[in-house]
Amino acid sequence: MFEMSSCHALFRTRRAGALAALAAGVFILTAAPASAQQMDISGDWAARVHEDQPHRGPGAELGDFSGLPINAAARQKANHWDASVLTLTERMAQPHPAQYFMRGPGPNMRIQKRVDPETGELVAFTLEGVFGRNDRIIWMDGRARPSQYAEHTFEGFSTGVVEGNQLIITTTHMKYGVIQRNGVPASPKSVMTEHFLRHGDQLTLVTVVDDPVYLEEPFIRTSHWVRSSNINPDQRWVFEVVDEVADRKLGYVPHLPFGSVQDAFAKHHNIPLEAVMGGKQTLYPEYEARLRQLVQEAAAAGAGQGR
Amino acid sequence: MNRRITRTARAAALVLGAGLVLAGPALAQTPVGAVSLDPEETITINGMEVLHVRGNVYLIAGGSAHVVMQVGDEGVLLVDTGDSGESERILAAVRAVTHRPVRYIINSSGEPAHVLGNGPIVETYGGARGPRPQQVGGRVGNQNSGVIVISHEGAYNRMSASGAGSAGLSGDALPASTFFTAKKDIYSNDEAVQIIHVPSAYTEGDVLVFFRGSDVIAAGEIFNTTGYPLIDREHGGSINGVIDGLNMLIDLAVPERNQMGGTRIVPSHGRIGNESDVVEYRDMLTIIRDRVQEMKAKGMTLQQVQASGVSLEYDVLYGSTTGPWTTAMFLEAVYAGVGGQ
Repeated sequence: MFEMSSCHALFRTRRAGALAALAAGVFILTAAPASAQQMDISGDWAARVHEDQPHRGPGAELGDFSGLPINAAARQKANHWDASVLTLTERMAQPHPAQYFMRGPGPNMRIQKRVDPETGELVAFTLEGVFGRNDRIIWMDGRARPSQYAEHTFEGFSTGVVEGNQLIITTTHMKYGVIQRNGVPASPKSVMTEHFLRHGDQLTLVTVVDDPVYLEEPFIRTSHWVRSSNINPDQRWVFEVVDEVADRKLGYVPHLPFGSVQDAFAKHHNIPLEAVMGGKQTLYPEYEARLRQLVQEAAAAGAGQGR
Repeated sequence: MNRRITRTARAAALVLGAGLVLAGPALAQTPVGAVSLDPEETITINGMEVLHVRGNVYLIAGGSAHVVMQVGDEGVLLVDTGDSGESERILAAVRAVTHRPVRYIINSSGEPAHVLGNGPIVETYGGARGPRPQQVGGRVGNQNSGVIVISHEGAYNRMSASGAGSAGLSGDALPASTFFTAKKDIYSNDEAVQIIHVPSAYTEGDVLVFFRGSDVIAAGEIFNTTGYPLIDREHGGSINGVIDGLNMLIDLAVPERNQMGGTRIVPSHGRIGNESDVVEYRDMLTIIRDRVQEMKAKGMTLQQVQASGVSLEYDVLYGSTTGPWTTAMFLEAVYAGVGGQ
């Protein structure tokens, strides 16, 4: 009897209390921790990137900020972002930040349970294989958040709790990053709440980013994985830093001139510029009327020019 | 205490285990990051927080400006000493980590909030180190006891001056050891400590303090994760000097891998960082500087620049409309520090 012997080992000093403790121990060992029973996301998971694939594989086009509830400050940052900044030696090896990396590319993930070797309690999930290998630790042991003066990291500091059929993760202490790979920023003050939902071999993640610096309202998106025994998590542990451009001096920072507007996406797809510049008003069905109005205005202006 | 050690050891084992599993044999010694985020590494005492940064180096936060502490068998080295009235709390924080005496103070600038604790702390630990012809308690004092205060000469000049914006220090509170060259080296607690002058940054007397063994740099007012950098033009400061200082930091710092970890940089205010945090700050200042320079070259006035939204994307993070250092004052300093028509 595994339960019996385990309990005897644990409670061998006080016979009076041992019986009650034994009963409790048997219950605990048979029942298993509630959190583990209700929600176990461990395993190898293959990303399904059919949702928003162009944003997740190739990456969003320059100037495509559509669907993002960004404010004017974020829009100004994104409009002046020059992709050449990633050729700087001090930037070319940076990983994707937590506010973004669950979206692309992939990632195929290996999630492992980490248990206390003495008590068997679930201490954390580790989530491995993201781009740049800033692998995450989701602390499940109820530990406190670090000081406001503690270092922020690309993966952030994450704690998890199980509520119903969800694993809810709260992440703080993230570095300055992006929510999209075309320069749309995320600030170190952002807080990310994630909801893992598992249905058999299907795993869905609902990510909510609150950012008082750059967002008008929470930014929400979903990602999807399928359990697989044949995944290949990103193995690139160290990105090599090389000289990509010969004449760059330390201190050179590529950026577009003040007042720039990245309108290539709108022009290429013949979409009114306002509609692709983001903002909470562009997220809702009511915006369709405004979009139709903009299209009509653009058509009228075009017709006027053609006369 | 045993419980703390056990929990820390468990966390370390867990993280190491994760690293072993993740990386395979060739990379088995590289752990997953986040050990430095262990909240048990923070001690709070009298409103001051003590965080272990790396190696021998700790951060004392919660005062007017950060104090950095190096601890070892030789005693304590402090980078800066806080504002007036903060010395007791700073010393309580020091004693929470070690009972060794303070042996060195390095002032990162002459800013009053960084140096007004010099006097009380030097007095607490037996006065200034060095020759003492006078009788102390009936005996000649030991020349090897006490505290050496070190600063750049420019910082000394500001500390010793009187008037607005100056600390007005005298006696043992003033640095006994100053330098006017690019760098001064000392060796403390088994590691080289380089005191590197950053010309014309916040003032004319700023230094970075590089703990080479611990791989930590105390950046003083050159780096601030909570606000735009102070630029005191009356005392030789300039936007280009601050940016040059940030580039010096980037040049000195080496990340462990993929811009993560590695050399840690402690700002004057805000959170501990590494190279990537300094890069973000440097990029921000460089972009604002370049924009203001272009506007000025086109003939725009200061008021037009301030009203243009030139720093809009950074103002919520670093700017202020009230207090001693507003966004308007920062932009004025930038405008004055760049070439124009």
